[in-house]
Amino acid sequence: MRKARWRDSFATLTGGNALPDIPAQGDARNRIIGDDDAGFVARSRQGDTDAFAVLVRRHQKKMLNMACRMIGDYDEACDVVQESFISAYQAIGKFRGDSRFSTWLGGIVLNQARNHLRQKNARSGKEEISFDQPAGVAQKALLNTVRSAGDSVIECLEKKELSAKIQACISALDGEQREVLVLRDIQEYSYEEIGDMLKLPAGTVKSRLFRARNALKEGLLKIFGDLR
Amino acid sequence: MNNCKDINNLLPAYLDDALSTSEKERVEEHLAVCSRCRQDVADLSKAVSLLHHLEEVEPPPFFEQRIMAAIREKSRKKQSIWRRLFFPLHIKIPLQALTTVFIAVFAFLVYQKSGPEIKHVTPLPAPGAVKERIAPEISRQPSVPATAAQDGKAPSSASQGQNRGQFAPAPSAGEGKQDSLAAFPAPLREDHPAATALKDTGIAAEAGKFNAKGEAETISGPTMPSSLHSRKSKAAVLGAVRESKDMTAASPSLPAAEAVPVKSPGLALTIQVLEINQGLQDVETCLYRFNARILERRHRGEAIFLKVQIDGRRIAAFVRQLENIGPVRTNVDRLEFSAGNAAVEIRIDRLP
Repeated sequence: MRKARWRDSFATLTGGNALPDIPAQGDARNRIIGDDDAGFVARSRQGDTDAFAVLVRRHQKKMLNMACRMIGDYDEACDVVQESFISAYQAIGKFRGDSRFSTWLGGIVLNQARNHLRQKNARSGKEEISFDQPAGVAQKALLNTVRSAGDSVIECLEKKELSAKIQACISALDGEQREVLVLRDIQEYSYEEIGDMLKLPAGTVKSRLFRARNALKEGLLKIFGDLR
Repeated sequence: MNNCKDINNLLPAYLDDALSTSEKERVEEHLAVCSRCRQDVADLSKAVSLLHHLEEVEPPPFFEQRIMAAIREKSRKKQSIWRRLFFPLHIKIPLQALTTVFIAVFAFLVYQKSGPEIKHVTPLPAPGAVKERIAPEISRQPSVPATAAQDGKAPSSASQGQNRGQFAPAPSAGEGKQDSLAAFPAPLREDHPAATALKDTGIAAEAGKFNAKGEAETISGPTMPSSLHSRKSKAAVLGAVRESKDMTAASPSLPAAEAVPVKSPGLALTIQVLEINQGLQDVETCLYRFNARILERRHRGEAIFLKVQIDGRRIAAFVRQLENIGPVRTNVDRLEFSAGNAAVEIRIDRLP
């Protein structure tokens, strides 16, 4: 008994078997500790580009998908994501850590995508995306999808076509609805996180999301006729 | 139908389990009787599941590298703003070289800006020291143990006879100075008229050179007003007597307005004395009295050139004092100088 106690105190001293404290849920400060990115964020703040490279590696895919769904064009989404990461690196000193890094980064990508679309619309005089030509803008965005190992070429093409059609429907949505739909149903952010990003209360986010889902269903029905 | 539309708006929330119990019951009651709305629920859940299973796009190859390259470039640019401001050249100059150049330039500027006192570090010679320095030069000359009285009695050439005639009372000047220079050893105070006579022609040539150089304004006999000329002669004659009486103050009998012509920024004086070394001593004594500093002393042939530094306000008085030693010529119209140190060149010449 005494021996065991001695071993415990030794382990505490040397830190050998000492387990890290588990943060309590719900507290903002503890959430930072829970964020896997916190260490790299801190190092990036000191100007460590290698640490930031880790963050880029971790989040590039998610951010690219988000931008891609928002903008509907793969190349443009790549540019937007790149700009977002540059902005994030430059503004990382302002990241207070009261949300997860991925949420903060998502907010930046969202803003960049909004600006991009605004500029694009201003240039092209608001071209509406037609449901009759779903493969137009949307298909280009989805050329880079990975073919699963088991898929035949036809299956792959079918999948691509399906993705293009769904993307066309997403792109056809109203900007606000599209944002909520992408953030919730594709990126699977929590209502709270979406509320943080959009600076909206969770109730507003929900009602906007439900309208967006209905609108999407209507769009898909127009294209496919039947979703069954 | 109207009911169906209301229910339709509630369906997404129903699927998300976000309805209140009463609303949920209302929706479920309706769905039980309305196949169309049931269809809507099915379509909606299918649409959402389609979104969930939407294939993800992959980032392009080297996307991370591309992003990081852009970030590194930007951060380098941000850093280089400071560099661009202070190091606009692409050449890398070592700090040591830059410092060396800076020190060199600084030293040169300091040297340029500073007055002659730094350039000529000659300390103010104490009267005693001056005497000592002159003594060996004089002792080198053939010693003629003659008195001041003998000086006047030893004319050996016709030209000198003329000179002596013109400046007849010169011996008395020598006698007068004996008082003030009593501390000097005898050979110092004594002149040798033979040597004086021999060197007369040489001095004339030297004076010609001096004038040709324009170092001092020429006021030769014919061009100089006769009254001034005669006054100067008188001054030379009476100078020594006055000097002993009026050592410090400027002589009131010689108004400053009478003092000599010509314009040039630096003051150059020529004083003619009967005997160079004696004259030098007298001038140095005078300089000492006026707190002047001798910066430079040159011997050119028989003549002695002194570069001195003197308070500008006292120059006029100083010149008047010099006129007691011998005839003085200056290169300026008026002896008006501002306060502060002024450099004056004095040429001590033998009287022709």
